[in-house]
Amino acid sequence: MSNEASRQSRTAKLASDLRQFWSEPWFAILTMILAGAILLFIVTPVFAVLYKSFGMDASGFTLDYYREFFSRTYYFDSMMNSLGAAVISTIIVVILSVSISLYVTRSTSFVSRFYRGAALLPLVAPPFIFSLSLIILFGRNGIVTSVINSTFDVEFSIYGFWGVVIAQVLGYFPIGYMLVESTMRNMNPSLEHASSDLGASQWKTIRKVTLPLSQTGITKAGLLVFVMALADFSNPLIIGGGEPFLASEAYLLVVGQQNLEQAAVLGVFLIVPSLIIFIFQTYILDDSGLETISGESGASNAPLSRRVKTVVMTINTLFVSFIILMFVMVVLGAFVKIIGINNTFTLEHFQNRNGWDSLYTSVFVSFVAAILAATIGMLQGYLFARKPIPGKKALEFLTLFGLAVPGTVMGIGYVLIFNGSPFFLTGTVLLIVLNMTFRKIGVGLEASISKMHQIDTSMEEASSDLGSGPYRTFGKVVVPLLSPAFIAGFIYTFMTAMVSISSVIFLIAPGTNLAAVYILNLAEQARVGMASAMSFVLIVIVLSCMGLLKYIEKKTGVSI
Amino acid sequence: MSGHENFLKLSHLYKYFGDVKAVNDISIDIEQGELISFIGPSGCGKTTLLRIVGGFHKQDQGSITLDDQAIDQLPPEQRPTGMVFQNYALFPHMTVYKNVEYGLKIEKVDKAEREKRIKEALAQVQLEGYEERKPSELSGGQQQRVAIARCLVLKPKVLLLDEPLSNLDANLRMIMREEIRRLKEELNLTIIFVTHDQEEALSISDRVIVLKDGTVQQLDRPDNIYNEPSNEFVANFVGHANILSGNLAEVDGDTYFKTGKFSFKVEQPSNTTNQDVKAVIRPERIKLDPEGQLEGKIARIVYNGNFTRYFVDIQGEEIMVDDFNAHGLGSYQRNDQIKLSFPDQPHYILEEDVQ
Ligand SMILES: Nc1ncnc2c1ncn2[C@@H]1O[C@H](COP(=O)(O)OP(=O)(O)OP(=O)(O)O)[C@@H](O)[C@H]1O
Ligand SMILES: [Mg+2]
Repeated sequence: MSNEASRQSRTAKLASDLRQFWSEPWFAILTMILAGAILLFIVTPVFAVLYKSFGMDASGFTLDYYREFFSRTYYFDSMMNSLGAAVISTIIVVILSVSISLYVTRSTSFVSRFYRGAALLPLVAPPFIFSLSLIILFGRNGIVTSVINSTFDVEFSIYGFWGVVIAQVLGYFPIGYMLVESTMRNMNPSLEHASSDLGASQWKTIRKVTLPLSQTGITKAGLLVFVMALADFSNPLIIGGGEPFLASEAYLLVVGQQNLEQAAVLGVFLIVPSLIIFIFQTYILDDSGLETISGESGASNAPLSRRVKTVVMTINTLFVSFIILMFVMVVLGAFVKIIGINNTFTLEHFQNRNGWDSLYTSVFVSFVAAILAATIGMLQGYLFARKPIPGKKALEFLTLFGLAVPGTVMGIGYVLIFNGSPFFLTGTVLLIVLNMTFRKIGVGLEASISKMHQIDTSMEEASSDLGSGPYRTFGKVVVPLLSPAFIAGFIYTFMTAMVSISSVIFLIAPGTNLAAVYILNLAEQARVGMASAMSFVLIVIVLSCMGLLKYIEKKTGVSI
Repeated sequence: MSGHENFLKLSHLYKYFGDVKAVNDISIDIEQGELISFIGPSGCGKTTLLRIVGGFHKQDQGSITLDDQAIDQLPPEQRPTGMVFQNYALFPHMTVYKNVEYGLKIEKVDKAEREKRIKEALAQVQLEGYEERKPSELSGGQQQRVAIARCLVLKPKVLLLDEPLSNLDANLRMIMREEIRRLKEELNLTIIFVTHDQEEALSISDRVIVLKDGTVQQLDRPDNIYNEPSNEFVANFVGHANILSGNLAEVDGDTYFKTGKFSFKVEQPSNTTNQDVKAVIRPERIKLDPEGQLEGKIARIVYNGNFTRYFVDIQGEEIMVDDFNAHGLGSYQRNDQIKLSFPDQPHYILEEDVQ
């Protein structure tokens, strides 16, 4: 086909797509509203930060703030610290994930299920909870610290770079672990059998077959952990001991010095790596090739040999015990007067008016955001999977991009956009809800799109054959079939919203404090008892919500 | 049959997907109360044509009238057609009852009437008592019946079935064939039935349409399709056939059909005076006959249960011969010399018809 002809046929296709798009006007209008919202609540904030970093709308275009960034070692150090901690945390998380996955994917024993449960435990806790328990154990007056200091006569404490690294490893471990485990689980066991059949030892098989085949999954896991650790905001604040990190420094610049321009520059350095990794993951990382070789069902991987098992079990047990110890510390901290010093049982840390208020706000806000995010994700997923929408690839990209933008950048962007006219939304609960919603709609969208691909179009055709118009078909057939995707979007958004901080901390006002932010403040002031008590309640709430959903799932037979 | 010819009239339908001519100038008139099958190899356009009738594809050109009303511009929800999908497309979140009720609710039929009609439809497909089951709790055949009931309850003017039996096992397929025939007779339904199974098409249909590359090859009664295929493609696609190229020659007042290698005596055919023809001879019409005119050697034997197929070498030409196993195992061995008698009225395909 000549260029001219192919252009003509493309124009013709676009025209027919547009006609079809408008043939269901309500869907068309909804799509446009959605597109507008995505642009306003995901894209503009990011651009606002970029714009601001060049000093625009105050002093006109300038590179002063970038110059400042590179000339002040303090700012530059924040970048090096953030990158360094993220790299180290990522490497450790990946090694631990592989180690636990190796065991868990080959055994259904109690120990295996125990490892798995414990490994996923950090999901239900605020990301900074480990900073809190690390302080309880290794802080200036920590239980272990005092022993070390008196035995070795030193001034040890966990505050600083390495404290942040440990907290990040613990906090972001589940994300990496889940990806690595699912990759290894999907791998065809017969490949390993073939390798050992050809005479390779198990070490060799793992090194030459298992790991190379899991490479894409492991890379994905690593990149995700890296992006999250890079954007980490609360751990540096609590346990960083004054060491500068990008996200926390940006926050301090905004609240402490009202220096939005300089904060924006730090934001740009946060977002550039995230953006690169996001694009790399979306367009370059190819997960179609290796691990999808399908296997005969029923076959399972060979159990680990003695030697491998010893190594793996040692690492796993140590790590898992550490996670559990951390949780135990928080629970103990919540129920005793001053942990390590006065260990008498008390409930006084729970008597905290502000704390309960903030919890109430958090539940309310997260619930609304979760409903919104899940609904939008479902609607968008249906429209994107079935309707000829011009530019839908771009919209999908932008929606998923919302997941990748570091919270701090989003928060600063929201401040820049919604503070003044024409919105005047700062300090309102509405803005917090919108922020939580649009940062997470990508999850519901992805779940819905993949669910839609499993639903044969004949389902909708049957409905229209029986006399139903497009909207009724959507309501009566598509929505019920998408309910698993809705629930997935809801759970994810609710859980992450309950414990999210980095973005909303810019948006709260005295009347609208959120539990996670409130706990962060307590932890920063080393008010361990109250912080532990509130964390405990937060964990209980998140866990019960999940339990409730599991119950509904069982009751209604909707699988999640 | 209740008559009304041209009940469903497809005229000069075209549908191209890019360069693929899925439907290429197809015109068919279907009578009311008729069951008509579309058969043809994979990709020949059966589904596409059916979906055009149902409104799921828009034809590029052509028109469709049903009961003298043009329906080709209507969306599926406004067409008086009912489609049974290959995967049944039952709504998994609704019970059998709710599935069947779905269309009635949209038509705003009142509750008492709905109940009555659902009961009736479920009785027609012999599924009373299954109202509260979910589709996942039904067997394939039962799901199939629900899908049919869901259409029947709306009293469609035409029922469209796209390979409805292909997901069922062989026995159930036989039973459902009977069922569909029975429903058709009882309710005087007009049915279009898509299948790639030629045996199924022959046994269930009033008329059969053989399609190839989006065009109609033959449209006729099943026995005519089998016995008098209009061209080589149809002869080969429907059943098995020996197709012999040759010509007719007079010898001493008798007519012979002569291939390059051998010849046998036939009656003077009425449908051709053409010299160069192809003769279509179904394998079961050739007899293993000690008195036969032609001699050959058995090259291969394929045992098929009710009959045995012999591949017989006659002067270097291989001929299929089916022998019905009325007395148990076939009685010949490989390399046996045997005699064959050919039918004296083979079906001739005229050379100009051969494509
Ligand atoms: N939506 C579509 N887009 C592009 N090409 C299509 C589409 N639907 C069908 N085709 C093409 O049109 C031709 C006819 O397809 P159709 O599905 O009608 O075949 P069929 O006779 O039903 O085949 P089968 O027996 O395999 O079901 C095929 O070449 C197919 O690839
Ligand atoms: Mg088909």
